[in-house]
Amino acid sequence: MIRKIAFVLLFALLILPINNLSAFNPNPDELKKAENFTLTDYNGKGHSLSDYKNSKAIVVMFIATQCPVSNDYNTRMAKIYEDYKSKDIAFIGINSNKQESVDEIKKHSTDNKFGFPVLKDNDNIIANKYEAKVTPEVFVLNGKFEILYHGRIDDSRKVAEIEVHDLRSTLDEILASKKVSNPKTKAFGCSIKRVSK
Amino acid sequence: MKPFFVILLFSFLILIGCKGEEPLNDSIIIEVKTAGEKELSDLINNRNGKYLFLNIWATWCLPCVEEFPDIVKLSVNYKSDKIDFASLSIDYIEDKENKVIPFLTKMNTTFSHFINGFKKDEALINFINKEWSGAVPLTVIYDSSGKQVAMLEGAHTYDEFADKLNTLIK
Repeated sequence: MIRKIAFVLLFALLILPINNLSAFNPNPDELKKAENFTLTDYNGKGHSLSDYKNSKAIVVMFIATQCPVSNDYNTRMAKIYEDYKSKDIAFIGINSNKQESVDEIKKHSTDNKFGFPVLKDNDNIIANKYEAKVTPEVFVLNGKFEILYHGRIDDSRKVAEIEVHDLRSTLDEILASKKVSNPKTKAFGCSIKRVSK
Repeated sequence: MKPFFVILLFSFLILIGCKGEEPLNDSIIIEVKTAGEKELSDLINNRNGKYLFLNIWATWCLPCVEEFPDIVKLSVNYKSDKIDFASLSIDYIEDKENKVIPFLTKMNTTFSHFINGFKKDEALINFINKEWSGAVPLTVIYDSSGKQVAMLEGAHTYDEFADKLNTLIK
């Protein structure tokens, strides 16, 4: 009997750390959760992240009207939206730059034929919560607002030199119910112009 | 009489020559070298007992352009101290002649200048510091052994840079 108890205890001791390990994720970014928010678009309409929680993925893009890097991606962003909107992927643009007005955002979105809403993040509150640093910078979330991907749209400002279409690949993997293979990337961009503290 | 006219004509031609449009800083010839991993490693590691203040910038980046005059001022005021100053532009190489060099010439700089020669942005970002988001401007300071001792993301003022340098070289 004592032997049996000892065996069970030993087994429990061996199993316990494994169970604990399963709750530990070696890549904290994978489990990092984004916060819900409500911001208004350039027509004054409110949009909450929770409005899109039933989508297969939510693409949150920090963009700018005056940044040459972000502007290099205008056509690409519009095209990616067109290619994925019917696949149950939601897109939200966020402008957190202090010097870019709602009127400017409206004109910029219209001129570039953005089909997705572009929301004004006054006082860069959401940029701070998401720790977004540059434009363009993309977050792809699931319905639980877990961050599945964070980084660039692709690997070159110059269309002719793109080798990796990171955002498209991420969305394709999500649509195919696969794990996102490259959840974090980096690229040069314009610093988000924040309000003074 | 003839020599008189020759001298007059010669003087006239010299005067005309002098009236041409003068370059902004004709005494300064800015050289911008392409820096890939090898060139940057050499710059960082061959210190000759000096610190390195490396500013990463672009002509399309307004905070970078606004910050640059303070860096020029620092490079003058800290010249006697053991600090080398260098800039690394992340503009496209094809913009070197028409954008980068004219800006640096206007800034009247005397330190070393480089332009990004890495094939991919992420390679340079991770080479400089894996914690760097890719936002510019970025200033990194290396000690005399080539060890990175400061990474300052975003634009900074003259005083902020000076405080940092004073702390490091005291």
